[in-house]
Amino acid sequence: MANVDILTSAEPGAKSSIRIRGTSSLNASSEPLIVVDGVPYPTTIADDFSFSTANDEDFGALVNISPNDIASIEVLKDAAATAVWGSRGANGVLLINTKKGRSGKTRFSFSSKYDVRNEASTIPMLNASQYVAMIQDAVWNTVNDLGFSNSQSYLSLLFDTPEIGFDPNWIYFKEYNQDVDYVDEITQRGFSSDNSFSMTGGGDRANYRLSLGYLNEEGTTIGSGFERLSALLSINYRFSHKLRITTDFSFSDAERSSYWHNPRGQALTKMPNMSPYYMNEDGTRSQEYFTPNSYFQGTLGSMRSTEIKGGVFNPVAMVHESINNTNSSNSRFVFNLNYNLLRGLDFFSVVGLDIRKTKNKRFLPQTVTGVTWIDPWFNRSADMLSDNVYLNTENRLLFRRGIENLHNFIATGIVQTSESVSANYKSEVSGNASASTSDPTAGGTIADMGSGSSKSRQLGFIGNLHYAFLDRYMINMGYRFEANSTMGANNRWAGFPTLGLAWHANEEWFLRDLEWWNTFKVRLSWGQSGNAPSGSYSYIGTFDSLNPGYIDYPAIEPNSIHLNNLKWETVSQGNLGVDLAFLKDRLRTSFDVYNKLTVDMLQKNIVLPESSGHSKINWYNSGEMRNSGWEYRIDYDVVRNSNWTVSANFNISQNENEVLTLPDNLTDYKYSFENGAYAYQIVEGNPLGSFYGYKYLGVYQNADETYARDAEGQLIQDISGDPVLVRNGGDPVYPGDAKYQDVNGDGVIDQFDIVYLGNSMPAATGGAGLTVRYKSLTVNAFLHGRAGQKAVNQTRIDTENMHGVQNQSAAVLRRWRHEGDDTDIPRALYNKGYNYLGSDRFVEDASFLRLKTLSLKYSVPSKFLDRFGVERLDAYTTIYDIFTWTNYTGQDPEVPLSRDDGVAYLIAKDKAYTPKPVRIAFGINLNF
Amino acid sequence: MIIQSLIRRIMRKALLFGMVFLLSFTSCNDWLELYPENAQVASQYWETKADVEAVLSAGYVRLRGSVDKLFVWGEVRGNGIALFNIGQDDNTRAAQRIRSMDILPSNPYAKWGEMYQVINIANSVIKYGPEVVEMDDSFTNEELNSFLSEAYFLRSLAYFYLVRTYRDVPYITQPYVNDDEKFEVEKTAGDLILNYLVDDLEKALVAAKEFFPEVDNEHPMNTKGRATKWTIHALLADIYLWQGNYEACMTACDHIVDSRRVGLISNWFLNFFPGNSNESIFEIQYSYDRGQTNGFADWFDVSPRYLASLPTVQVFSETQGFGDVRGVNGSFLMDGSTLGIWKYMGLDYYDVSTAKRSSIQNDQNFIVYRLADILLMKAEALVMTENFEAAIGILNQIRARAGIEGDLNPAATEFEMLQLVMKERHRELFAEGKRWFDLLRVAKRDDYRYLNYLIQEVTSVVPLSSLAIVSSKLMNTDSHYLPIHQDELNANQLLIQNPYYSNLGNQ
Repeated sequence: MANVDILTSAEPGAKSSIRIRGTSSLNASSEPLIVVDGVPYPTTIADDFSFSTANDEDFGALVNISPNDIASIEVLKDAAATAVWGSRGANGVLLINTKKGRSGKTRFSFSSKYDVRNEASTIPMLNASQYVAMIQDAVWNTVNDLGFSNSQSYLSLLFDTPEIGFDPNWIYFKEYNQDVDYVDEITQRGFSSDNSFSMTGGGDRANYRLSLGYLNEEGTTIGSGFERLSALLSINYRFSHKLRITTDFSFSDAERSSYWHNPRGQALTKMPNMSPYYMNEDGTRSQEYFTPNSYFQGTLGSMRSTEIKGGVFNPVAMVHESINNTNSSNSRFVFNLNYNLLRGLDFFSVVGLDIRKTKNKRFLPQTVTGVTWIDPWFNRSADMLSDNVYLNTENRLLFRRGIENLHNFIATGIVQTSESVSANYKSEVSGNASASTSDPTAGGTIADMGSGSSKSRQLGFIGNLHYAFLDRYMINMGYRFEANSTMGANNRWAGFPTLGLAWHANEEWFLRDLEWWNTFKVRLSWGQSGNAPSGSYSYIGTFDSLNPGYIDYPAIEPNSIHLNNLKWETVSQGNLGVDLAFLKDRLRTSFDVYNKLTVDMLQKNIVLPESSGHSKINWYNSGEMRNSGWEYRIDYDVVRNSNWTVSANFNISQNENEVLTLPDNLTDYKYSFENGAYAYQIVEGNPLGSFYGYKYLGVYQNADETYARDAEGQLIQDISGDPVLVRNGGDPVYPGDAKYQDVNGDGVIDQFDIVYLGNSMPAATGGAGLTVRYKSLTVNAFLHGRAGQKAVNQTRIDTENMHGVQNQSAAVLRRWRHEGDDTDIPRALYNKGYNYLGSDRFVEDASFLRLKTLSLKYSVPSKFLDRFGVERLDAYTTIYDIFTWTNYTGQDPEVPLSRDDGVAYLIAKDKAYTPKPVRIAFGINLNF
Repeated sequence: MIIQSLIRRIMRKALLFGMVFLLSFTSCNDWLELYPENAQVASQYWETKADVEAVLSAGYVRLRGSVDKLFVWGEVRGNGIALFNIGQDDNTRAAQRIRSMDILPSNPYAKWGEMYQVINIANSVIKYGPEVVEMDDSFTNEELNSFLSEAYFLRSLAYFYLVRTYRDVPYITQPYVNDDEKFEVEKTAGDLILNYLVDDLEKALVAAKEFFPEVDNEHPMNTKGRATKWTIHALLADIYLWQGNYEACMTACDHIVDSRRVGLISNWFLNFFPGNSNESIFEIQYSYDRGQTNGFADWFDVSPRYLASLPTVQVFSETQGFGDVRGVNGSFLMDGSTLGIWKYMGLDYYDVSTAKRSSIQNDQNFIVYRLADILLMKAEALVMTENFEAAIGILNQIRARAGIEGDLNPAATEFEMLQLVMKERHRELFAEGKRWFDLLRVAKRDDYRYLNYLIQEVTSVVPLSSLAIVSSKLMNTDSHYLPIHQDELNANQLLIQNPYYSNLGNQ
């Protein structure tokens, strides 16, 4: 699909997101609306859902139905097409329709699929002796820089730390003199099976389709897995020629198992000389986990499900012993009614009810953290419960009238309502005896408790008129009047017009007789839509109690400011498209250009002057942004006959993003001078997602190079005429330190030397597919690529800095040690210096071309099957993510966009520690 | 077929229903009006007396939250305390930068948010209190005016701290309740603000309470922890003295002295433990039992952030030999070279058997005003009005209470007299968040007549190596006020930085 950019992450547990036609908003959701069977499906994309392959299977998983139940997936992009979905469709609409019943004799189908995932080798890390040598090297360099008398603490670190020393008399000598590959310890071969069964049949008046599916998956990280049972029932009943009713009922029950905290980062940077288990006298591993609460690499910090603050844990114990099970069940009813009132006048009504229950249970045993009884992390457990109910209704009147094959009218009036209610509760308890007593009433110490509830409602009135003259000239006009409960009464309602024009030129006299030219269609559309602020009660000012109060008086203070001016963020989009088809529709091509303008952008958490007594305002409308671009797609059926089919398709698209007016609050840029930090700034006329930093020039080789020079290249001297050393921030540099370009020539590397380094937005994305069939054998290949995207390789920053106690990648074996070392990696320097400032050293071109899938399918010939009464039998194998052409050195060039702390826009920062696994699937489909 | 006709009938009803639904457009807004269930909605607040009182207490809670600032602003640039354990965290580093006059607009102690939180809360009470009286029959005008007097006091106290610390600041008297407000506000001259404060406080005096009902009369937390008439007089005396309105200052002091509600206590240490003594006028209350604790243990006790300075030891050495109980073992300890601030650590004057406060006693109040302070203010005003004799009388009163034998005699000049008063203030009010403001008040008087005195005092705690540079910085009187924090300048484009810092750039 052109210009549907699916951003994925290979990290188990990482969040993915999809963008249709660029990021058009800073703070409103940029994710498209997913509509299943005509009812919006709230897009709470599961945390570790992988969009990587984005085929039926994955979309099925997204909406919790078996891929075999999906009849069609359609993407609506231009404003006129998405208008009917209103603000929720402002970022595009993904229409998914499930299969319905078919009349006739009862048919059964069965499909089964097995796949195996093998994790490619991760970043090579230092082994035990290399690690110890690197740490000692780093500490020595710091001692030398500071001078002997100033570095007592570092010297004692060097001499009195048995973890990195060699002291056979030490009680834990064995435990700290192993060579462990932690990543290997926590990974396994992933495996999954997916079976589904369906039956369909019915008579004249009624038909049905019933399906059952069972999916079982084991992740590549030990302890991760997923199990899902799903059922779908669709009944279609025709009462009369005027009245038809369809009901769809789907149910799924899924159980996801995981660990308390993602062990990957910890596994990668753990000191490799340390054993995860106590060692026996004879040098073999015991069964007991070796988890000191505090050791050379740190102490256990506070650990949340998503983050760990400055702490360490035993990653091997984490995957084996910690529990994190999420059980979610989802029941969904869709009731469809279609009544023909008069000739040409139809009434449609859709009611969708979606009920979700999620229960999460977690347990973090002491063996993982090593803490003592009084610690709030001792045998910590958590219990979470959430309930969501979504109710959507749509009532539609549709009037159709044709006059003498010349004029055709379609008029539609729609009323839509939508309500979502949610409630959640959680409790965290420490000091539990076991995982089964995680309930707070069982007697542990309550560490954290909370509950919440919210409700939001939306309402839309839509009028639409479609007129066609001679089936050649078409005009479509619409107006949508919409309201959302997240805004105050004065700004709640907004109107959004749409207009579409189309011309089927091939119906004209000058083309009608051309046999090789079948379609020539020109489409022009323009429309507006709005984004509402997220959350339930965004505009409402609140008071909150202050605890404790003052003396014996309870205290309440104004907490958030009431927003009278919060309003819709408006997106206007124009689209011009041309569709062409030639050679009896064998060659089809379409081209679209669009321009999308966002005004009154929703700004979240705007900093207020402190003189207001408040620190922020929740929402504020300000700023303008434009996304413009084009999309091209071509499909060619080269050969199509009974023996051969050869067809190919190709798509490419480009999106350009430009900030036209800066939001009021973003005049200042965000940067603080520290290692690994990049500067972010939104500049009028520039696209979002740019990063700024230093130009990296390599390593200072000798003392002479470390003298500061001004812009003319003259040595800078101090008052007494001695040359001064270049300083990275406050620290003077020595040979082996990182050399950055001193842009202003003042001898100090600081924020004034920052330059533009690149942008996270790809210049172009595209894909290509090829299908070749010979008789019963089909080969299918799909390629996906992106060009011109820059990414910050955070993983390299983390594994090549040699600044802390973390294990580093094998690349640091090339670090500078002596003058003359020809290398781009500075010397090791413990806890000091600025050898890894945010510079172009870690910014890489993430352009890539990937062979995403290659599949081979064999359909058993029907002559043979008929004998067994089988209608169809296919066997296939598919390999996913087989090969990637790229210069990117990170784990995966498909870098997801993520939000950095305090930065208003998304940037490509690669934090992946896990390569994309190569996945091989085998399966059969059987219909009888 | 029965079913069909039934369905048809239902359909007709459904259609009718649909039409009604379309027509009832006005009801849509009600359907869309949703309120959170677990938060207090602002538009539904301000209905009862309890609402007003709860917000008023929030003002005190926020004032309590700003004690770190009040202490640093009042002490770090003075010469009473010494900084210790520097560099342990951002706060100690920032405090050290202030002491060495190496102040950048990014210094966290240049943030004024806490003061304006107090102001915004006070403004809310002042604006909405009168509206609530109309709604709540049980809420009398008398009660309202008493609440308002407290609100005016909180607001004035906050502004007085701001004016003494920044000189000119935005003067805001309306609460921020919605996004129609003007968030960017220009600075108002400090002198002008002080005039407004005086007006407000004089008016507030009328309805202010003389005392509050107590649960425990031994420890009158309410009377000493909330603003009474005497608190307002104390603040007025302080402002008048700052303004150089000595007559008014003396009158305000006399109101307190003659109130018969406060008096000097004979055992000086009782001011600090258990606190809320008869001498006290206003203390920011902490209470371990109520979960209202402070961070004083981290500041003064184990690995302390603040110690007594050498000038403090010196100023006490003048009276130590004459029986002054406030020096060694009173205000501070002489434990080798470590001069811990005993005022905040001890349960009584130190001797080998006295225990330190245990962890559950770490709820020392922060004393804003007590009678000794007021008497010394009056003494200063007397000096400035050339009534040296009476001033010496007050000094002798304070000294006698401290156990010093022998009276002082009046000195010859105003400056000598001022020095006597300042030394007594140093001894009496050591580490109570007063020293820098005292020095600045005396120095800036009469067009910085005593600037050299300030420089001399301040540089007595500066290392010799940076003495010249700190002195030259202090010569520029703009440097006596803190810069407006960089974040605040970014968020409020109407602010103009204190000229002394404006060339320090965007750091």
